[in-house]
Amino acid sequence: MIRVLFTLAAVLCLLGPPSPVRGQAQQERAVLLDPALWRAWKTAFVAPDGRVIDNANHGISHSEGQGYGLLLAAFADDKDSFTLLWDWTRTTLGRDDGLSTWRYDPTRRVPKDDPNNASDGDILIAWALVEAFERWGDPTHRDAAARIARMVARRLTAETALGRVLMPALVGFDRKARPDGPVVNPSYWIYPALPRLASVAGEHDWSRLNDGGLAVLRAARFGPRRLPSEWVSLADGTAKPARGFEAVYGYNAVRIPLYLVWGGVADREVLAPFMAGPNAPPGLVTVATGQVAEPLLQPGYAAMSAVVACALEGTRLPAALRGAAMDLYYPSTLRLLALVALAQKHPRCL
Amino acid sequence: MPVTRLITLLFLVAGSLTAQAEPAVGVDETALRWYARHGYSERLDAEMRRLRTLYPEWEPPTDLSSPQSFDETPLWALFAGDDIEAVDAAIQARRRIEPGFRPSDDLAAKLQHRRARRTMLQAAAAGRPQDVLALAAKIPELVGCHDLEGSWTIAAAWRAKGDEGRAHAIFGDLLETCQKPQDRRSVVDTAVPTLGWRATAALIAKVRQRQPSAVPASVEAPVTRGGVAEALAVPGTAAPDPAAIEAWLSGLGSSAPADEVALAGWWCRAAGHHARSLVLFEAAATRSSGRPDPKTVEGIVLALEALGRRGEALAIASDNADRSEPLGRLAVDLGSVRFAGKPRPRLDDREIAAYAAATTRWRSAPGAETLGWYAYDFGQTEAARRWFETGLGWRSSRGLALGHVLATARLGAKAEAQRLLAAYASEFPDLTAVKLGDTAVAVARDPAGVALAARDYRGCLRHIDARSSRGIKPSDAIMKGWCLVGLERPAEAAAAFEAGMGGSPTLREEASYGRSIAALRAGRPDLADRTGTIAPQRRREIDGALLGEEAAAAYRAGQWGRTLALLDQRAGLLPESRDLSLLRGWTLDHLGRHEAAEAIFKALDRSLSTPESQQAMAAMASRRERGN
Repeated sequence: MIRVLFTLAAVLCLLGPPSPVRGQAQQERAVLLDPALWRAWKTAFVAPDGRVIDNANHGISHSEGQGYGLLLAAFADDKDSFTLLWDWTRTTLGRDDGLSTWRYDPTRRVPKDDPNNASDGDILIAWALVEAFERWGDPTHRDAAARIARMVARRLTAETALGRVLMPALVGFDRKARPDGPVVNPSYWIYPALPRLASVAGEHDWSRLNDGGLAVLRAARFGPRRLPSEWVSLADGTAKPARGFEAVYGYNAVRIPLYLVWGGVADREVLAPFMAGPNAPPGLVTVATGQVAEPLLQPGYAAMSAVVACALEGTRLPAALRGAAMDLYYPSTLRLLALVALAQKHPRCL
Repeated sequence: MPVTRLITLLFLVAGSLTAQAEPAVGVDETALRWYARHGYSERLDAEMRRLRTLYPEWEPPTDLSSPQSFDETPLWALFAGDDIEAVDAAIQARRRIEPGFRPSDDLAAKLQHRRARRTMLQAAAAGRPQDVLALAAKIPELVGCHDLEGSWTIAAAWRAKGDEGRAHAIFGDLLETCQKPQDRRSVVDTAVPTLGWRATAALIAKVRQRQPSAVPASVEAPVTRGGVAEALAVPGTAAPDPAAIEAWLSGLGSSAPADEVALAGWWCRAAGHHARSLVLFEAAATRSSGRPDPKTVEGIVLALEALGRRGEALAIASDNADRSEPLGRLAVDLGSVRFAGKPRPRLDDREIAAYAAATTRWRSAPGAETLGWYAYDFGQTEAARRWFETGLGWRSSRGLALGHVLATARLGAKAEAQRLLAAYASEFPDLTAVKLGDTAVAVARDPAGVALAARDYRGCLRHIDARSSRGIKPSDAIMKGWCLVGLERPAEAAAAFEAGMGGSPTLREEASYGRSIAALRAGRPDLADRTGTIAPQRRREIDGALLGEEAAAAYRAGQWGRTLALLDQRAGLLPESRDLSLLRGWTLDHLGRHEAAEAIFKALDRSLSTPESQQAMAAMASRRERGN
């Protein structure tokens, strides 16, 4: 579940022309992702069978990657690719309960060696299925989304002193499993997805889950830069960095601002810690000291703070972040997601 | 459609424009014929030369004395668009060139029919069925498969005039004669709301007798749906044929609307198929535009609860507690589980306050009982006494009555406790077993039995399920049956009673009786055991309970006379409980028998004054002041 990226020498990409998708954001079924960028992403990271390959992690796949791929395919209005990705996800990662196994490693004798799920992957997949249903009208997409959404609401949420929270997986994070449980991951709250899941499983109060996530973020401000750690313990009604994990604002956490802005959170007080300053280049931060533990050089990571700068200051997205060249799976994906988020929420920044 | 009209007029009047575009076809001979008819021979020759030059392949007409026959196609196009005014305008325009022009007989007849139909629909909309029928009598073409809307209008007019037979006959003829599947479907779709599902089913059967293939099973869904809706709304109504119901259920595709899928969910719940009902309620929620209907959410909660998934049921009920009274009550009811345990859990004060607020908001007697016992066990006796008393004002139960007595006794008011005990004993005879000693009283009894007696049917089911993991005893099976009857799950209750048939002769007798009651509740009186092998006292209790519920249902339906008759019938079997006496009072009041009503309320208030009886007394007093 924990993202372990190998530190690679920075692969600086060649920059392409600015994105032409500007101005189409208001249309319900608009193409929100430039087809050229989508084609480049697909070529770089999708195998012919529909498996999304994480090229920084030994070419493994995970439910999160499939979810991102499905979302991007929907926003690029590419039904054929969506079908290809969904077929692989459903048949390879799909569990009997509708959720997905979180990891697939083709080099292992048993590629799915851990049957546990990852709730962010499941939420992404369900969200993408809702988008697909609304674009193309296939009720099987809607019904699959509803099934996942109900599992998330019923088996992957818990009531705590901070409100309703999202459990990272079915197994391993609750009070019974850990002395410092429940342990949550603030980056698993995909805020823009929650109202979409409400549209197919509206008997649950998804806004409570949304509010619980924001409460966790407000409580989990650690160190001089007031940033959350990747894994947060909520035992005793307070938030602390969880035991057994490095207390860093890490690869997981870097996407929190993207999800916040995309989910319509405009509260400066919530967003401010995520804004990069001159003394805070993109990087993984040791929360206790506020020091950068590892710089993040791929442009995709810069897109995360750029999204915050757009939301708070109206700053336009740098042209360097709009190109079609792809480097690593994760930062490239975040960058494309940021472009879609801005097209939907702040088209003036594009 | 002014543009279309303009174009048509231009085409009719100045056809030569079109003719230039297409030589030899549609040559405008209007002028030629006019000169011929009026004897302008020079001009006739000139026109003839002009046309020959323009259209070398043109053959001059041999009969120049009659006007040119013209293409009616544009008139038909306007007619098809239901633009009668435009057709009339076009005819007038033609007449200016050709006085005495008449459209073809076919078009003229159809125009007349269309005008009559329009007048008929206007008459129907204005509520003049007599005029509708007069027109229909004059123009037989207004009814038939070619005009379903017209047919329905006429059928509705017959019904409005009180002639159901003629209305049925129209639908019957349509069913028999309409060949297109979509037409048959529309006929059945319309017949169900118009004639009712039963009459439609009878019509279909009659038509099938004469013509077996006339009505395919696939168009029957609305009939089945109507039957299911009625069977659910009116207990005891005979439901449609099980095969038809199964065909309807399995035919619900992914495009079936949310309300129909939810109806199927309620049907499956009534039949005890909770897993299937959950799938259907969830599908209905998924298909709703916007937030799902509270009734559908209620279905999800009830299905989860019936499947033993109480935690999930509680979470959804809580998320939706403010959306409807049943959901609010369910949240309170299911929420009681958080207060349970030995020792009792110490809950967060905010949680208790929220539960108390919800209990008060929905006037939930089970909620009041939960809070009463919780306070009682933590030694907060005065708070406990108040909750029990408040709960009794909402709906009496053995548990609340017992709590009220015990809390009062623990507060030191022995005499008051003894008085209460006597007052409640008429309604709950086993309370006479309670002895008010120095310490609180233990009525040593089976916890499941206590829960059943306190109408805590869910608690009762929990106790029995917990101790029956390795098979169920016949006596427990029977008790489970009664709990399920209380939860309005008669099909499962019948199965539980069936499992209780293996016990002693006495148990078998009770099981058999229980099965009959369950069958009656499930709307299957044919399955009830009417052989009188049951002990008379037991029989009275059960009949009394049924009559009490029927009376409450009749009251809710506003059938005051029937309510009173049922209450009287019940009173012949069992002493009247406090809540039914209140019901009797209000029923008499509705029937205008104010003095009798007031006497009942007065007696109730004297024996035990509760908010309910006080409210009734106040209503009576204010009526007297108003002098009516």
